Amino acid sequence: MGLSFLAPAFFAGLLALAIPVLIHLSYRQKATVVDFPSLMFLQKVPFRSMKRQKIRHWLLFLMRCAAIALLVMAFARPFIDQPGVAAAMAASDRDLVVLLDNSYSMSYGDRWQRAQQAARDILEEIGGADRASLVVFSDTARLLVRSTSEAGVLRGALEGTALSSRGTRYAPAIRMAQQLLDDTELPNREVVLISDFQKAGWDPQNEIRLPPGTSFRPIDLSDDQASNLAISDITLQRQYEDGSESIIVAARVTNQGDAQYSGLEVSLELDDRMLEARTLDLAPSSASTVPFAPFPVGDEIVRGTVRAGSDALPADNTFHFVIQPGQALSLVILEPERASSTDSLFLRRALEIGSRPFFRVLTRRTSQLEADDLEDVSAVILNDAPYPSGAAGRALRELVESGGGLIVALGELSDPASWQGDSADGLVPVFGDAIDRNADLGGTVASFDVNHPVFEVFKTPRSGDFTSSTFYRYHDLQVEPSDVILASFDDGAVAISERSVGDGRVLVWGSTLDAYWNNIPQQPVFLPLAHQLAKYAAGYTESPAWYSTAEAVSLTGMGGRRLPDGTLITLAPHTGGSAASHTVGDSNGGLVLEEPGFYDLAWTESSGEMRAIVASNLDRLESDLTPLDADELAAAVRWRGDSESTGETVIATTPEERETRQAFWWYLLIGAVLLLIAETTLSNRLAIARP
Amino acid sequence: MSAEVARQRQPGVRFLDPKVLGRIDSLDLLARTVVEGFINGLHRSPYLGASVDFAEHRPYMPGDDIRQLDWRLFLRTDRFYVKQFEAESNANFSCILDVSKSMAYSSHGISKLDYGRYLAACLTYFAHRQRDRVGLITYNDSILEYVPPSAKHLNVVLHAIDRAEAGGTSDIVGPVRTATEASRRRGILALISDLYESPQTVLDALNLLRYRGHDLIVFHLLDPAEIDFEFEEAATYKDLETGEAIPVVPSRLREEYRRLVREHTEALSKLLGEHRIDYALFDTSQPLDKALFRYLTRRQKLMQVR
Repeated sequence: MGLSFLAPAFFAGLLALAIPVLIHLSYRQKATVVDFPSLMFLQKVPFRSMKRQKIRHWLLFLMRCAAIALLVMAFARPFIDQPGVAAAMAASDRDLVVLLDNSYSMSYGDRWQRAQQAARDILEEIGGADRASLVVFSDTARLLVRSTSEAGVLRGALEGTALSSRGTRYAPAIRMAQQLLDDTELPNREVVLISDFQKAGWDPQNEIRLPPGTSFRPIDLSDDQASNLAISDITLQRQYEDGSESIIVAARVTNQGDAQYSGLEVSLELDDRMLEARTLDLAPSSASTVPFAPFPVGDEIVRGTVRAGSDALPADNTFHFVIQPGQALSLVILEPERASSTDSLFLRRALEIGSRPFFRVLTRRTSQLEADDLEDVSAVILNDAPYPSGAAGRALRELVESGGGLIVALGELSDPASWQGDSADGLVPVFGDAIDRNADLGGTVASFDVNHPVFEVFKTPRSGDFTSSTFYRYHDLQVEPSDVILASFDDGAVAISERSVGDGRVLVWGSTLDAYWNNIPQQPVFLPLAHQLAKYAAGYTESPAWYSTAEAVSLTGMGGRRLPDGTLITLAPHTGGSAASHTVGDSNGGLVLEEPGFYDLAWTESSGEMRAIVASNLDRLESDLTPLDADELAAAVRWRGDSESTGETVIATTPEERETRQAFWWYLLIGAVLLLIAETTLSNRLAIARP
Repeated sequence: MSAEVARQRQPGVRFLDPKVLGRIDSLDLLARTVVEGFINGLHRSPYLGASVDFAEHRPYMPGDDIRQLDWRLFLRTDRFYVKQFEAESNANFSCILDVSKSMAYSSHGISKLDYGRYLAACLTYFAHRQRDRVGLITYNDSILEYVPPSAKHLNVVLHAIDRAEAGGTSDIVGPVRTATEASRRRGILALISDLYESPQTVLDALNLLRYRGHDLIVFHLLDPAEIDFEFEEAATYKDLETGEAIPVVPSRLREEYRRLVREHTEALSKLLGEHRIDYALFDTSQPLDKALFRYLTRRQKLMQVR
């Protein structure tokens, strides 16, 4: 096909294109003044001089040029050499993304069957040049088929979909749809979301917008009267008495819906053996906690399971957990020679409370400390005491260098000279006389590093109020560049510093841990702070009692320390099945627990083959079947400037029979006239808008 | 159909628009109109012992205040339990409202100052309904009006808000230092401003209050024109506060300007967040109640973490 002209001489008229250019370039900018709140940011932008000849209304300019060009082409009488104008793109062509929810809650009743049937029906609608993508999602989104018009491929992929044991998150799926539609060239875009619309799966804070003109069609499969019985949580409370440790399991059972449960049996199993069963009466839309009798903790990992009834979502009627052997930490508190019985009272009381972990505390005068006292000790706390001398001092240094912890609370009896000996050399920053803040009614802890493990528990807003603690005296710590500053006072002095010594760590607290130099022991933050300092100094890490499905196993807590890179770990279901493996240090996502239940972990160390057990449960949010208003979700993800959900208006090119090959110039002429009308309207509006 | 009208027609959007609110003259009525739609609970008391409404016992967890341990129950059961109380308080609540000249700016019908006045009125009414003591501070480069917190000061505060007029240049440091001296009792302070200061200056000023133990909330109000800079006309741009003027070609520096504003708000959010000061950016073209609702919902979630 080619295009020729009967009167090409008329192309000389294209010189008229210079007219709109000259009009634009000769236009002079009026000097207007615009009031603006602040020039703070405008002044930061590098100054660029304004050119008077700048073309300002490109659309207007292009319309004028196009109108002249069309007039010239019309007079040149174009004709088409060969018939066969390509068919215009049909206005109905669209790119469709089907988002299919395969989270665990879709197994409720016949939701999954209805979801698959709805997806089939949607895919049946595809025709012509339509294209479709298929995405299944739970807490993550997985693209099964990318934008294709082959219905067979889509149906095949749909039939291969299956339910998962994961939770529901809408954001990843909608974000994937957004990315798929950003790339499309088709005029119409549509997203179909097939789901039970669990409220727990949508966070209103998600800022996701579908591309402009995308229509969003929710297909809601939720049930009006959904009910579900679930074990929503388990608490494991450890008790430590007379050298033995016991544990109390308490299960939180929730009843969502109108069902009334009477005599519901809630049972506790340990290592597949029934330990205890309790009965429970549960009213509609209520929850209750079932405590079980305490049982002793042995030296082996124990698998625990709590079961409560059965319903349409059986996975959340069972809760798995593992109980690690006793994890008591041994601490030694060293006091000065002339300490009174109340000197470490607050500290001892704080450490006696709590069960994760238990602290086994031994209190000694510095002069009475013997090297044997430090056997199997995780950390030592020097509470306003000088550094021990002789064999005890050397043993303490060896303890720190071999991975133990030392917490030093400096007071008036700390005796700087005692830290000058060989054993203590370099353990703590240099400190001198105390700073007295009595004159200005005491100082406060002004800042602390919430990213440090010690202060991590205070990371959330309003979770740790240090401003109510007043410090009347503290030592000025002369830290070295390699030291880590954990907290500072309001005058800039270091409150807590950390120094690595060998494999261990030394934490120095510039003031006392009793109520002599400050009142922090009487504040709510003291107890968690004392626990955090002790746990961090002792290098304590806690293995979680259970994970949620789709969660990766933490390799940090295994065996109480992080495994070295390159260690091969295998993960196999405890009841048998195919094993997965992972090499520590690889960035392939780690070991993910896909199904609820118990898993055996195995790895090899220099000391031999090691084993561990982890438990996995359904995401607790998945048990909450409360539906979200699908229209609310649709409103949240729709593009802000979208007028209606039907998509952009596309000017359809209606195929018409060609009259003669030369009749084409009429269209050019009409186009030029329309353009000139549009140009007149637009320029009038611009003139009105610019006084 | 304009985007605004389309948005109003979207399902799920049931809140009023500031333009509609602007037609209601009575701030008191306005506050009731907006506030009644909210969920209960602006804040939980970050301080202990203020409530006497006993709720329940729960097992002690590390991090709990040992003063809340129920020792009688401990003697009976030999286990530690903590008494929980209904989270409510008679805290001090004061709004610190910036009334500098830049707050008078408006590109779409409602100025930042009006928006801030509605916001302050809503929050004050809201706090008063929670039986908190309410107060107000208006400032530009110095404190213009100070209403000390009191349980009886709702009407005084609303009148003071009604009287507030934009004028003068803004300087956050001096007024906040004066406010620090005046606010001796710990409480909740809501700063409402367009924050044309460097983030570090804002933080340094607010730290004076934070070190006093106040719970701070910063509402950063910006007009959509300040965020998007959708101007077309090349013109001379005059600073509302200082009167300084510079020639500007919007199309040539729009992207750079947006980047600077974005960096400014991100720096404020990060810096204040790191120091545990709540920060919320409000676009004055957005319905006030919707923005407040989103903020309060987020704040409630954070409170639940505690």
